Amino acid sequence: MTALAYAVAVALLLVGLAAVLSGANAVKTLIGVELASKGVLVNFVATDPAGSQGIVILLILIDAIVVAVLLGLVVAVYRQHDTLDLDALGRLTW
Amino acid sequence: MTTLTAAALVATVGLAVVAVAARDFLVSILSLSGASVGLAVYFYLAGAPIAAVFEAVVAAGLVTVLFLMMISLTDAETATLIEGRKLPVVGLALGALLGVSLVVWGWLGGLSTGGGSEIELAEALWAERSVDLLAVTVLLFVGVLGIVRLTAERFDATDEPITGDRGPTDADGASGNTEGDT
Repeated sequence: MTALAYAVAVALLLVGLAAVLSGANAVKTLIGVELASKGVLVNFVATDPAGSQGIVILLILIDAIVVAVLLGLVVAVYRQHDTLDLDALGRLTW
Repeated sequence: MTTLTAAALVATVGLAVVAVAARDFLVSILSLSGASVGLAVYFYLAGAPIAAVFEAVVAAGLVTVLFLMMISLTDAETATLIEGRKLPVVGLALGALLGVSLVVWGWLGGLSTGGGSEIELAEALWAERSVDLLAVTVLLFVGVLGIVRLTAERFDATDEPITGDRGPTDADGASGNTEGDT
């Protein structure tokens, strides 16, 4: 079961990476970041379920804060540029 | 127990893939919420009940509400499809997903779960991680201030007020009042 949990952790990390790499939309990129952080959480819990609860809770809270600030940033960018398409927003995409 | 744990983990990955692949933002966000619920079930079954509660409340609840609020603020409902030139990289990442998962599965298959320490959560949070908790509190405060600033209606107080459709409406109302007075 631990092996399955580790595999799921890697899978979530890579799905998030794929979403960030595809980079078509700001919201999808944020969802990818969220999924990658979930993969980290699964890794912690699979390693030591009882002992890692404290750090897992802190990571969940930090993740929520990061997502909230990034969503605020997305709203601000949308009001400035009227689009969420990352290709249309700037030169940091490929 | 084991079957339910495996089902929760598989559902989490499946919903995560749906969240990335779906075109409709609403489907993506609800799938992300479902993945969080599946993860909370796994946390509970794995022996981390308080982390499960936090995952269900914060990740499946608060973050979902934040995403939905963002959709209502931006009026964006669908995402554009992934460009053709980016598909090989995305496919490569997904192929790496499969390959690395299989390697990890085979590599760690013989390992068994450790017993886990018996640290009380309150002790872990308040005694051993007090600095972390203080840092999270400061981050929370800064995050709230950042959200309020970023989602503010205007960034520059010197901007002129929006002159939209209200002008003619007010003018009509004013003329109507004038007619009524006369």
